[in-house]
Amino acid sequence: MAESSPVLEVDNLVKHYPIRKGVFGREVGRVHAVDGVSFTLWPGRSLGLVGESGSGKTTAGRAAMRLIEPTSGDVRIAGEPVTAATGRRTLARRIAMVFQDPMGSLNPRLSAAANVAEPLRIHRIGDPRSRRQRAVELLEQVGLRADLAERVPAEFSGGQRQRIGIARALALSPQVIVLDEPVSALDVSVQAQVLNLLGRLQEELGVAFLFISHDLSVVRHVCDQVAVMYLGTIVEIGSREQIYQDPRHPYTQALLSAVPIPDPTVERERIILGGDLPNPVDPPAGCRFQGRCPKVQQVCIDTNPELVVRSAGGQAVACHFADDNAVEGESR
Amino acid sequence: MTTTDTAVAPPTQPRVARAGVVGKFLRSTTGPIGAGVMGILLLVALGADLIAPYDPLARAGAALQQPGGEFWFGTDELGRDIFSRVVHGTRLSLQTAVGAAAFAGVVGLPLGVLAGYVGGATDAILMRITDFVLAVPGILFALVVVAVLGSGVWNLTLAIGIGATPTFIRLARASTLSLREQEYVLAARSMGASPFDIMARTITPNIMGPIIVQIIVTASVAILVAAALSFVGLGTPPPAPSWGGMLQSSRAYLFQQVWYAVLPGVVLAVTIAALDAIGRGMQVALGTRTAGRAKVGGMG
Amino acid sequence: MVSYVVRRLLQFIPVLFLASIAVWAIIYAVPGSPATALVGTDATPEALAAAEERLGLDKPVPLQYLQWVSGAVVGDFGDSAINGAPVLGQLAERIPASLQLALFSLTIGLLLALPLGIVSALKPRSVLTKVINVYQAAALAIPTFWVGILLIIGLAVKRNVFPSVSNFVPLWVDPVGAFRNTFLPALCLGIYISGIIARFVSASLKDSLAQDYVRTARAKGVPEGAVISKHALRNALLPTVTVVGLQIGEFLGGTVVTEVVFSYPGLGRLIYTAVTGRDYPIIQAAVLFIVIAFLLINLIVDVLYALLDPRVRLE
Repeated sequence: MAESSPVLEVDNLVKHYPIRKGVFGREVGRVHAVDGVSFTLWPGRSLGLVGESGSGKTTAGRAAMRLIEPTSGDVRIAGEPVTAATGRRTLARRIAMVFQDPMGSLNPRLSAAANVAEPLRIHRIGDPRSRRQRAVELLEQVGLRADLAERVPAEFSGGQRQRIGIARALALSPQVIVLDEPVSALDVSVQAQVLNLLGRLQEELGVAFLFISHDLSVVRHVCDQVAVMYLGTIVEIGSREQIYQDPRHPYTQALLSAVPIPDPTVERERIILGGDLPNPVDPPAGCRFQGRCPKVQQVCIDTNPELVVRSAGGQAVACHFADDNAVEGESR
Repeated sequence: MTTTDTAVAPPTQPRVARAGVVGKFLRSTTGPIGAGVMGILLLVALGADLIAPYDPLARAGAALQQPGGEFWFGTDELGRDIFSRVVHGTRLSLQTAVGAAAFAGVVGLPLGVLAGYVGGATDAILMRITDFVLAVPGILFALVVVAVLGSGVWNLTLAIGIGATPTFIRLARASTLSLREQEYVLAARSMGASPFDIMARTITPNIMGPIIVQIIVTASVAILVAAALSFVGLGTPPPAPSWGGMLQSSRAYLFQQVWYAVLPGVVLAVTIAALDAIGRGMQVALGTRTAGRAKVGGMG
Repeated sequence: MVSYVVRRLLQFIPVLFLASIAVWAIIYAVPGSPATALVGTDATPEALAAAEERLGLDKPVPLQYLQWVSGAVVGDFGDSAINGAPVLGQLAERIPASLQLALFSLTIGLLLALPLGIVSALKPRSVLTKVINVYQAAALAIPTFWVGILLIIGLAVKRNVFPSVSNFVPLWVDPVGAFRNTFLPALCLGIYISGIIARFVSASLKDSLAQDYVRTARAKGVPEGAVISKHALRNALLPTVTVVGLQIGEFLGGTVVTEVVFSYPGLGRLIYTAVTGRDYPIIQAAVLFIVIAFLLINLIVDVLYALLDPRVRLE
């Protein structure tokens, strides 16, 4: 797959929320939800955005598609800059979203077909009849029989609902789909089915996925590229192989150490992180991970490490000791 | 009430979302009774000309007769058949109720959704207006509007409708706020839906439950307020057969014809009770607890 | 707490501004000339000229409003179009009467509602509760003015126990006379609000009976009577304060028809007479007074509630 130009470029995306207090709404602080996130998404590829809850991955995804207005940063879709003036209508035809809660994200009053046809109706594509027909086709494409098309969301199982949500995201044939924890509300057996469906759709349609998840094993299953987020910033980004086999950031290493390995012969040291995700209102001045890092040094407290490319393969790590962090011996 | 829905539910899988509500309503204690009584009253209102044995405005016999075979409810001070007047009064009452509730709903619902969805200055201004109207008891508000517009059936309906509107605005706003962060609203935004589209097609259909309950509550309050205003001579002007007006006239003849004061009042109370019963049944069915009554100011 | 009260008071300003505009505009909304509306159609030319002067009809509209509102702020709403007496004095005369009626009505309402609400919460499946439910539905559905007629037939006209025309006898002057005169209208209103309060008491007592602290009290062997009176009821009655408080607001002017039925000289009947006599200065002053009173009562109720219930935080 040697596509020449990226389909989605996000450059230095920032989203701050002001905290207001008192009668006059004085600003007393800012929540640094997303603090300078950059990544590139290629056609037909998947980028995984992983992190704990509160790491800013959802906000980053929503700001990237301008579902929330970013404080600053540039977004380009297929080379064209996206600004506040672009408008959601134009944007919606190129970038769609699949939500975490398959029940909550479908309009409970509309049938499955009507839910899938909503984007077409909003964009005034076709007449009601052809829209319905297209919706039924899309439902079949995601593995739902046509005779289920008239049922309302409450009559479907969680996995089926998520299929409806995916069909709806496909309706306008977007180039990018942002999937926000698309399987974390589902049973494990259903998760696999939905992930396989996503893989198949990507192969058939060449759509790019921005896959937001806290679940490293899920991301491994779907994504070619992985970005690890911590406290509003990307701490490590690279190909799936690089991240999973040669993680360089202590945080990535800690996360991976918690992922079960389906091989009883492999022994591995669990890295247990102390403390919780710090408050993003006042992030520490130096490295954001300093408070929980097992390898913290004075330089980590003084200076914030930049996200720099560390290897020929393009793996970038935001750690002063990235080169020392290569895990000796154990490389899976 | 679409009571037929459950009967024709497909055998495979019922539409849980809708049939559930109707089924719960039918299984509630008060709902079916209220709906049954209201159904009869609606038929009476629609078929008043066929049901009433006499002309409600014309003399039918001797004045102030006791109830009997010829005049079921007796006759009034002008010898008119009280039963026929009560029957036509049903039409008048329900007309006011429907008119006022429809006005309040049609004006209040979109404004409330707008306030809730758009927020900001629009919201603040609308809320202060509702604060003001809600600070005036419903009956008094209607009274003052009638004082300005003059009395008459339509002015009365409008007066009650305006007074009931803020409750709809508040209710629609609160429901919208609770929906605004729902993912399907966010999803509609992500699909590029315009704010108008989201308000009209995504939010409004999903907040109709409590709104319909409020329409029922408003209808019952409207009947009560209309009767009260007609009773004090500021509502429907005579000789129209309004329930409140009849009760007013009856006061002078309490000794001669006590049923004149009693029977129209019974019908009035039964109508209000039936609407309340429907409202409560619907609240049970929808699982909401919006005690909107006290805020509409239903005191006679 | 203080900052909450300040914020709420600040919120009153726009409401009062809107209310004052609406009330001021009444005169202009009435068909015909505003000056005629103010003094009546059969006024002398001098009176009409005085009214025009008072309204400032020769000035721009915003100035006319300012002229009116600056009078209103210091309590000058002009003179009654009917009897020429200052509006404020007439209003002040009626307020104690309305408050006394409200007090009596609430007392009756609570005396009826508390036992009914408690019984229906404690024995939800009993026959008695079914009867209570019917009573509650009836109390809300039967118009107070009709209850008034029935009471007048039964107790005033036929038995002569109570006067059929209720005068205002201040409680502090003649308690017996006050009771005799206020009882019937208060009973009408009391029955009505007992329907609201009983439902509320029942619902909130049921809620609190289902709480963990009640189960804990039972588990540690507290006698059932004490569980109900000390643990459940006390917490269940707190929210009732809100409902009762809001009813006081509703009673100021919301009892028009009952006051008319019994010819009781309260605020409601003052407004009623003003509406039938097209005495607009009275209407203006009364509506504005009721809005202010309602807002203040609401604020007091909220603060009181927070003081009684330490769990409530005012924000």
